[in-house]
Amino acid sequence: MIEVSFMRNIALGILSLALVSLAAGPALAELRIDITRGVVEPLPVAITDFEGADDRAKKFARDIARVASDDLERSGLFKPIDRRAFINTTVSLATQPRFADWRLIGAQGLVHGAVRIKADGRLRTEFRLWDVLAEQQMVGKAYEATPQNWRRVAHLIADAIYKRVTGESGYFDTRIVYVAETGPAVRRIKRLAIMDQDGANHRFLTDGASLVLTPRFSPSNQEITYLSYVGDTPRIYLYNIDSGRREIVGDFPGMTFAPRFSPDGNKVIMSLSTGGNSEIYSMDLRTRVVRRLTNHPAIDTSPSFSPDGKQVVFNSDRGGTQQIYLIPTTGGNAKRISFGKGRYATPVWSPRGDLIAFTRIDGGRFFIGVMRPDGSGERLLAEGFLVEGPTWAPNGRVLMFFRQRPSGPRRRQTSSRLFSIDLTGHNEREVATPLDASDPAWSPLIP
Amino acid sequence: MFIIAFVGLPEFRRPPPIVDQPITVEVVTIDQITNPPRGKPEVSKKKKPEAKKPETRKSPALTPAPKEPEPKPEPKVAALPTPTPKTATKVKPKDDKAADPKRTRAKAKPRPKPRRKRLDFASVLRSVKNLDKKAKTAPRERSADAALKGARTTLANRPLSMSELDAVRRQIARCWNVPVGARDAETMVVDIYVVMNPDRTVREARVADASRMQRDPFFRTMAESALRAVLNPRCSPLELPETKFELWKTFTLGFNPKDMLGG
Repeated sequence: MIEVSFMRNIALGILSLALVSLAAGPALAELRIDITRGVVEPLPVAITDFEGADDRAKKFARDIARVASDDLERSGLFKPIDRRAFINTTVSLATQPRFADWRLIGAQGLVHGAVRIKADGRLRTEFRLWDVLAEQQMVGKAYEATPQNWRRVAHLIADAIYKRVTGESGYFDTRIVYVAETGPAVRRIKRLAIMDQDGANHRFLTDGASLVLTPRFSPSNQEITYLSYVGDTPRIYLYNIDSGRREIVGDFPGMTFAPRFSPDGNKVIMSLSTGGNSEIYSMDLRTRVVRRLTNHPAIDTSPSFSPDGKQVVFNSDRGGTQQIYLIPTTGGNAKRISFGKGRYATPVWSPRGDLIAFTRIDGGRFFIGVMRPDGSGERLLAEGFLVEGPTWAPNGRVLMFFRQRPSGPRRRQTSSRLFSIDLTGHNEREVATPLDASDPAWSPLIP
Repeated sequence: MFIIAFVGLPEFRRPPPIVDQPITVEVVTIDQITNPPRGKPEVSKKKKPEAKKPETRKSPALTPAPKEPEPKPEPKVAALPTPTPKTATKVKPKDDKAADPKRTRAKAKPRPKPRRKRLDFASVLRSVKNLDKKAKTAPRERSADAALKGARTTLANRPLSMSELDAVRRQIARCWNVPVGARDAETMVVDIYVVMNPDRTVREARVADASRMQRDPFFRTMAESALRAVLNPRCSPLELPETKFELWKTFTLGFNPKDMLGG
């Protein structure tokens, strides 16, 4: 049977040849290495003192650089390098910097600018952001403004840097409106206050004669809507920041609460309580036509529009406990999206559309958390004796909320402060306010 | 079908003629046998800290008197090459006990020098730079580790092993600053095509899908963070084996933060 063994040998030969060719194949293929982990660190960036032609310009230059640097540092995504570590301080806007010097101190970005006071007294500010590792310019812009608005220029510079590096629009050229509180717990004086997001330019909007609650910014105009008690009746007001004009939003039978603007700024959505039942209504500010969204014996409140205006997220206890529900703007069936232990309240849809922030109360503790609009991916970001009232920055990356803590000599009083936190859960910081603060609302980017 | 069955099934009728050895072809592109990079003293330090001391004590016996211990260290010398680097340290403690009185002669001073040699057989090649100090021992070392050195060169011909790739992965991961808050970050994959210099520094790095950088700002952010990871001076030179330059002259790095963002 020689032919049997011959055939076997042939078969073995073919098999081994096939296997050898297989073995040779992958060796010729391109080497690929997958990196699936990294670190989360702020980007080290060197922000030099901006140049100025004369002393006055130099002072503006230093202040603008400092405010922009503080903004970027506060975001938690950037780490300005200490100026004392700079090796080569001679940077000019006209020429390319010596990147090797900046790489030595560990900088990955370099910011330099110049301020000039023009003949008409206006400020002209230019800046450039360089990528030190790739040795290229990333962004360069120029701004003209009146000298009083130098802070806005600094915030705009910080926004431009933020946007170029992260791909998302910044949130530094914004304002916060909140309720400033003073006085003992039994006779609290609450006043509306507004300030830049870094705490500067603080001023009061109301005098504290009547109680004010839940201020909200319009996403498109410089208007605030808030709740104020006139006598014993709560009414929703509209306040224009630029003109100072104040008006009452509609005249409803009953009590109105929790007003919020629609994304286009033309509608206000609120909850109206009549005869013990609380429902959600939306009112068009131009036509003053009121539409009812929910129809249920349970308490429905705290509504918030989605950024595309098609859905409304709200808080209802129709399921037995306070939970979060979604309903189309045109009305319809409400869908529950929160299913954890405890109670959920104050849902706010992120301007980016991918998350809903809320307050959760469980076992006597309060939490601020986020979840996706379908209810999945719930994460709790902050906790406290009482934390409440999340509000989103206009780019949907940062949340601000207020935290009440027992304070005072025998912990009988409560102190209430504002805090900001990144949506990843990092970088929780206290926001500096002159008095106690609650109910923050973040403005959109100032046009 | 029938041919395959005819060929594939074993012959039961008669024993096949034993003509050749069975061919075992193992198709591995990346070594399943770990091939740890040379000259990492801390690796073996962690492995056998207590066995190290008896090892080092043995070698002074070799250094000061190359002639005298010739009969005595023979058993030890024989013990050295035969085990693989991992098990070598295990075999030694047995010999140590037998030759204990000799050990006590060795003082602390000569110990540090031979320690560098003894920690890892692979470090023999590295210690070549201290050739002037160890001129006496060099021939001894080579004879002792001749078989192992031979084994070393054959190991160098294998493709890049898992441990070598893992070393590069870990190194770049330390420098990659992931933009975790970005939208849809967990589904984003960025490919960076890298061209290397022989001295293990990056000559050129570019994004594979460059046109997407203009269209998609989030992709640009992720791609720029990946480029920064590759160009970062902290991660240069890369921990790649210099002898295998042809294998890693050019390669693609795929950045995807899925292991960090649980979602």
